[in-house]
Amino acid sequence: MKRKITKKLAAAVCAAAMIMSMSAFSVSAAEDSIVIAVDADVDTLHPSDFSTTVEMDVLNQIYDTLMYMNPDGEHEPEPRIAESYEISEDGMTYTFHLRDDITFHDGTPLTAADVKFSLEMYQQSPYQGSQVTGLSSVETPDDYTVICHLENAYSPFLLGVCSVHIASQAYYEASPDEFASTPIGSGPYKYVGRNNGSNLTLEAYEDYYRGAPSIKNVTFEIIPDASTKAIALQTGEVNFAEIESASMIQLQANPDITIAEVPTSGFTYISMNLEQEPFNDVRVRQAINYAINRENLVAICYDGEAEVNSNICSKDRFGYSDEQFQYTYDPEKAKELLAEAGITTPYNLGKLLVAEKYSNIATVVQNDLRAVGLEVEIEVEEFNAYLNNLTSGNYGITALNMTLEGDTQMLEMAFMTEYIGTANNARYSDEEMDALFTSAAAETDSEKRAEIYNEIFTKAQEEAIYAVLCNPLILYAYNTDLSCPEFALEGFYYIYDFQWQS
Amino acid sequence: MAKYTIKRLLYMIPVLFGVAFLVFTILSLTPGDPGTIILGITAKPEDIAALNAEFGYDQPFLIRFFNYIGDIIFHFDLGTSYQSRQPVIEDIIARFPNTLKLTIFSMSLSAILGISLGILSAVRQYSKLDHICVVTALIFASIPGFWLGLMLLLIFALKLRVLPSYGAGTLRHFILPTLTVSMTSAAGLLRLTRSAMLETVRQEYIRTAKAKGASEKRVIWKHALRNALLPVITTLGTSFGASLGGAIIAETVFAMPGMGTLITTAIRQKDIPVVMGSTLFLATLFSLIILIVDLLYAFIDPRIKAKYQSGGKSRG
Amino acid sequence: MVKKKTRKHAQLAEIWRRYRKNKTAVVGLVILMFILFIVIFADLIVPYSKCIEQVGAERLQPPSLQHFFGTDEYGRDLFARVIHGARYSLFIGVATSLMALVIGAILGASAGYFGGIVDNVICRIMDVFMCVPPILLSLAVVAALGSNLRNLIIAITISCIPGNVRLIRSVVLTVAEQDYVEAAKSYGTNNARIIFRYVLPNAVGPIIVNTTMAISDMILSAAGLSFIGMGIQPPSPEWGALLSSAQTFIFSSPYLLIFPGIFIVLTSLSFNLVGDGLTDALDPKLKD
Repeated sequence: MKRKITKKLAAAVCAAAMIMSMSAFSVSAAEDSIVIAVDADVDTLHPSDFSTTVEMDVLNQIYDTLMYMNPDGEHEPEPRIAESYEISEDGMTYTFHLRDDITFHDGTPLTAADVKFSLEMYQQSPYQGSQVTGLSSVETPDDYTVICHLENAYSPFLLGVCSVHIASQAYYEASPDEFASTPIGSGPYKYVGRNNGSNLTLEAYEDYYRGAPSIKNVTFEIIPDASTKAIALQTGEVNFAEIESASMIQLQANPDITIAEVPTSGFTYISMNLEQEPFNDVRVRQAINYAINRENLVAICYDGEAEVNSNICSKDRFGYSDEQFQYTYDPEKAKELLAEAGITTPYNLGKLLVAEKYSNIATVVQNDLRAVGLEVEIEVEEFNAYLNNLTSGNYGITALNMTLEGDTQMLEMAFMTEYIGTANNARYSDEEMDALFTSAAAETDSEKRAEIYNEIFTKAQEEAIYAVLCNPLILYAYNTDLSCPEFALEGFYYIYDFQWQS
Repeated sequence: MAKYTIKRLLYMIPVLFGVAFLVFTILSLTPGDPGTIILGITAKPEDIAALNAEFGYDQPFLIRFFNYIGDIIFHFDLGTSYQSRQPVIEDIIARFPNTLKLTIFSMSLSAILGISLGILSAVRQYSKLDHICVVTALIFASIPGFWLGLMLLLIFALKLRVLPSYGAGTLRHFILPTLTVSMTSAAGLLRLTRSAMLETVRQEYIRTAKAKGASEKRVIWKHALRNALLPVITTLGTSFGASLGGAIIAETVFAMPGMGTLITTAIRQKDIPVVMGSTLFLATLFSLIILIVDLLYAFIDPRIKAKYQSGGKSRG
Repeated sequence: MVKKKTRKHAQLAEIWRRYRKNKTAVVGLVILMFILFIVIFADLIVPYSKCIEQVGAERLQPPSLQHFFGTDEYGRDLFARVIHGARYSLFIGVATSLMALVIGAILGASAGYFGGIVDNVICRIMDVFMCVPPILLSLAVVAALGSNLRNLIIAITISCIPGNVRLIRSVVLTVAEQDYVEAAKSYGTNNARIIFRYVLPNAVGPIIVNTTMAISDMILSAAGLSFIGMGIQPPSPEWGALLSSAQTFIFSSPYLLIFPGIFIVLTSLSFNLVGDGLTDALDPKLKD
């Protein structure tokens, strides 16, 4: 009797287990489709009111821009919606001549009115307004000419205006609600739909003026977990993804996967509150700069996937020069400088405040500082709390990563007095520095601009305002069968340029 | 019975109000403001202030709280997400089915495994099988959920490549997350069923039934099981919360868009309407399940039914 | 007095006799002793400095004679970190369980003993807490207070108080109806004294079992919170934090995930086995 019960139950359990494991799973990528893994869902698809990288990556496929300009600021802009452009002598007027054969995904033609509408929308946007800094008014003498008037000569305008997504005014006026959720652009891909929290799909816009894209269907899958993403890449469920450096070793060993390392201008750095002792002493800041073994930090925190650099201006950025001083690892020199500053070691610097995602950097920094006799206690804060303390100057020393993309002029946010309370974390205030940045913005001659930036960064290095550590690389992993062109600085990608090799 | 049910439904209102107040208070204690989080530190302070004002975040705590509650009561509006500017209810509609599926699958699997093996274990107390079941259950109860999930991912998705590694598209996507969640809860249920069975078997009336010559099978199925299942059902009901906790971890490991990932992301982004709306939604559901379990309990056990009807206390 | 002592002795001996019969429970006790040994003598096994010493040239080394468990991404000795991590993990487990027990006992006992309004208020507040999934509650609390050891303990404790209150309340309810409590009441003994002198000691069995097993759950909860990224300050070697950072190296250096994982499972398992053994040993109904 007993046995019978046992058997029945065992059978039931087995059956349940079998249902669970039935049928094998296989993946094959269709020739004209691509699956891209992204870290997070999009919150909006508004052409100007977006804030995350993922949103930007998706919008870049849907919307086209006036021009394409390599973010290093040293290449001539390539024509897109605008065939050509002119800048007036005084640098106050930018004129763009548009193509006349461009249509939006709903078939309506793209005209100068749409460009004016888009530029003005950017101007109003608290999210991306900085892209059109300096713009005063827009004029449209005819359907295919756009003239931008600036308040003052502002040379970074060109790079900024080249990233404005051109949207349809008629669509905005007809359905303002869908404008942000169901975008209609003039780019190579049309928006198809999305499953909240799960994926988002695009399809080729066959009437794209540069020719229909080679890949027809694009799916953005949301996979926040790094190890899950790495597995999906290896099984072929995902064809293209930005990966974390820790997944490198495993993915590199796989012949089906190619990895591209792309430089960025984002910088990992130690910020010290210059309003507090002992960070107001330049020798202490220099000592901290000398105390950090940047090569070691890059090896540990980025698995080697970052470029060592103590200069806030990255090497691929306009205005960088080898003349600008580089701090190297020299603990002896650090100790000397500390002694000069009258600091008897071991000295307690107090709390090293970090957000959770920078705690690995803090761990290495703590170790290096200890070696020169500076003790810090790591305090990890929730990101929001951290931002609050950082911007309000409620900290002594911290380590973080910041991205000030776009023109080199954007770096003014880290130095100018007016940005204390926002991105000027060091709370640095110096009239000479403010004046230098102001003159760089107005200078239209690129050689002269480069000279001013040289002066700025030389000064920043001498005064050791920040202790910049490195510029992390963006890592893209993709199927070896997928051919992708070389990625430019910052790693923006355009699926239009991708192609499957048969 | 109907009177009792209505009373219990009415009683849910102050509890849910309490939940709303609790969560709102904790969230308001978190530092930072939504404006800074959305626009970043490079934004102009006046833009941040304007955005906060738009969210009504510049108002004092109590006013914000009662505005929120007022919207729910008078407009049936769970609020609008700070991040996506979409109604919170849309996020819930999109994600809840996944969490519900995962919870139902894993609760069913753990009920099947836990209860059947628990009965088996109890019937064969001190046998080899009993020992194996109990020890295995204890081992599974001691494994961190995410660790189990990662190991399953490594074996089935990467090494054997028989199951997908992420997402929630098809039923197949649910297999690994279901296993991750259910193993721990199956272990708990097994132990509970086993001890409940042993407890009832020792009760007088079972002894009487045995003494009267009823067959062992009859004793187990008719008398013991029915009584032993009472605490099991209660636990199943209350373990909904725990399953949900397991689901949050599993959703993270397997990149599944569900309520868990929705709420954890929202907590980090200080997206108060999303956290509030989803937590209230889950709390309502949870309360309803507890109510159903209690009613079911009464249905199975006539003694309790009598107690309800005489207006006695509901829960001991 | 003497008589009482021997009776207590005899009681303990009886419990031990019954406990000993359960082989798996004895294994659990042995593992627990082993873990406790590590906790007490960690500094003698390997100095703490080894845990935080970074050797850049030796990062992500697989297990070897120099590094029994290999090294982590900072080139720190994993063996040292796991050994010293035992202190953190066990401390978190024990501290949270005891705190939840004390608070749960006070609230649960008052609710069960006094009944009426006190019971109603306490139960309603607990109902509110029980409606929020524990992990979300912990997560929100950590987000509000910031993540460090103290706040982690507070967050986990809060999330498991309601369960304790319910358990202790129901135990107290059954005990409070016993004759000797009624008798004590009629003598006019004060309430707190009755609760702590008569009621709680008689509820001690289920409470001990529950607390032992709770330690295991708490260790797992702490690891779970660390996994979602709400852990304690680096470079402290808490086990959950070790697993969380090892997660990214799941392919290239799986040992980083395996060794701390085994220790978590072993510790958690030992508490579960001991708790399970105690259930049987402390249950007078099982005397036969």
